[in-house]
Amino acid sequence: MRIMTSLSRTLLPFLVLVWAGALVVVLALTFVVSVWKGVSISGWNIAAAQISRWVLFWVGVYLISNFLSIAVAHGRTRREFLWQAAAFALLISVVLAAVTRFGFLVESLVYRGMDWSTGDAGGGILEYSLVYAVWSAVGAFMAASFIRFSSAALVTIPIGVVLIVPAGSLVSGANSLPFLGSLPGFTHGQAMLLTLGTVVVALGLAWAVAREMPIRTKAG
Amino acid sequence: MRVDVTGLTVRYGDVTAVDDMSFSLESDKIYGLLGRNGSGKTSLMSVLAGYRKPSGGTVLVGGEPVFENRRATAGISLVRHVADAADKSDKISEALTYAAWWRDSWDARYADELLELFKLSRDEKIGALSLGQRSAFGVTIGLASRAPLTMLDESHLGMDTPTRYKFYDALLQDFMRNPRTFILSTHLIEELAALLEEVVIIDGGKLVLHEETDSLRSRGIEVTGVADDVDGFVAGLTVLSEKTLGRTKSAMVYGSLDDEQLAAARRAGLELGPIALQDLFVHLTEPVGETR
Amino acid sequence: MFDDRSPIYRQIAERIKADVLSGALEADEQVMSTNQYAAFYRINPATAAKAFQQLVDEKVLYKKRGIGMFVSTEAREMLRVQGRETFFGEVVDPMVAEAKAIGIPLTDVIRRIELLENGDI
Repeated sequence: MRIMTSLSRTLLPFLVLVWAGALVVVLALTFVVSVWKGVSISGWNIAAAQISRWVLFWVGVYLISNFLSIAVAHGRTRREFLWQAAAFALLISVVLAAVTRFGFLVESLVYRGMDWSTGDAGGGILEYSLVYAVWSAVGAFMAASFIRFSSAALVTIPIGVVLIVPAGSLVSGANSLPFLGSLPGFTHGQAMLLTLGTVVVALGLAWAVAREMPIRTKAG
Repeated sequence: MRVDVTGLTVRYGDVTAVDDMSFSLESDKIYGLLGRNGSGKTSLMSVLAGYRKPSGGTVLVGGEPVFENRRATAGISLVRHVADAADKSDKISEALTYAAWWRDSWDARYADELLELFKLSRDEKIGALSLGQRSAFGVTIGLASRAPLTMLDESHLGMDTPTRYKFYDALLQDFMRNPRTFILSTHLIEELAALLEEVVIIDGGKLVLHEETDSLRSRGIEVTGVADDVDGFVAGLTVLSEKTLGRTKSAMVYGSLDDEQLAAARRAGLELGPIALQDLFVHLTEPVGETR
Repeated sequence: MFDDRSPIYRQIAERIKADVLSGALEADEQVMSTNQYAAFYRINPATAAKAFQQLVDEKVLYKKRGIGMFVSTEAREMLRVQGRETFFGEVVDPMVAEAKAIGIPLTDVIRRIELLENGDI
């Protein structure tokens, strides 16, 4: 568990701080906006639905592109690294989902004090956990593909897009940009299960690609 | 840590970097891996470290297959000319933290000593280091890992002379204190040769020879004399190179001569002289009549 | 230091023998340890060990267990005897050949030797 604990020790506090900083910035922006017009939507919802997913995507990329080769260089196996990195990704997904939820709580208190309307207020911890998990797993899969197959890995982009579609339907505010809205014909529960499936598939793909990946010499 | 390479082949697409190579190395010696650029040194070491899966053949370290086997890889450290154990955006201190996290045998205090020796600051970013400093940092990672099999690939690259001497001294000192197997790769053997107990020379992905450095020093003989006499004498011997000046010819012969041959040379009035290791290496990796 | 044209262990052994002959190393004097020697001359300790082992085999040095290696009492005398055996073949004969090749009369060579012997130069 050495890899998971060491990753958690550095990246987890960092990411929680990023979330806290984002909350402060969002609230400040909301106040700025309120000078010109009435606040009728949740600013935090935009950050939580849009920006946070990309941060988790980056985490997945960073784990593979940065830490995998360092771990192997210090005599760790890919197998050991990959399953612990996956465990780490799931852990931060849950923790950051909780922090995201906490952000909504803080925001609602502020909104109540200012008598603003939040409109649509995001999803639950479970929903955000699944969204974050699939985005980080897709990030890891795509990073591994690009490192291993270079430009041939462009074909993994549509795979990645398909994998994140179900997640987009779970939380409100994610249905505008960049991809699709809610899944037609699925209940919320079915969409949750489907998203869970995409997490498993994305992790499996990342594993398959990175499992025997050569560690190349870094340029320059 | 003992190393056994059997029928090893490494391919990148159509390119064969290592071609059916076999050799064994014993524990606790300093080996030199010599070869020109592109001879397959880095590919060979990458497989020995489990950085890449062999395309064919087997690689055992301490009797264990290496690839994805923690029992082997925990005792192996490879530092290629650009440190793999860090990202360019990392600070030296961060790279040391990763080593402390993941390398069980890491000696943090010794790493600090080496940083001091090489005058490297912990706050410096890896990407901002000069080539020589980056090499020195690689040496720091390699030595402080205290791995039973430590491989340093072209680790002197970009170092100035005083730094290289510091590197050699540190290496020797630590080797005597904590004996382990070292493989140092280089294409400049002159300076390094005295440190090496044995050398493995590879060329074009194939093993050329594996021999004790000191016996290799007596393996090359330069035969000089009248062209016809030289030709007559070297017929049947392994000739590495020849050059002629007027009626005089000199030929580099690889191998040792027996007493009968020595007497024959004396009778023919031929002059026999030694060949420097560097010259021997150059000619061993460049077949006669071939210019590369 | 050492050249790359002959085995280093042999060069080390020759150097130590020369020190014994010249008196720089005296009888029963301790010589550097293998590791000290390796560190000082920046060479592989196994190479240094091989040289020392050869000198022990030739009885130039002897080992005291746990302490180190020392110059044997008879080493200097032994090396002098060996030196005398090879002196004419290795030193005088080539010198005479060289003198002839460059046209120095042997009488001049002999005169020079006498001057050296009498301390006149």
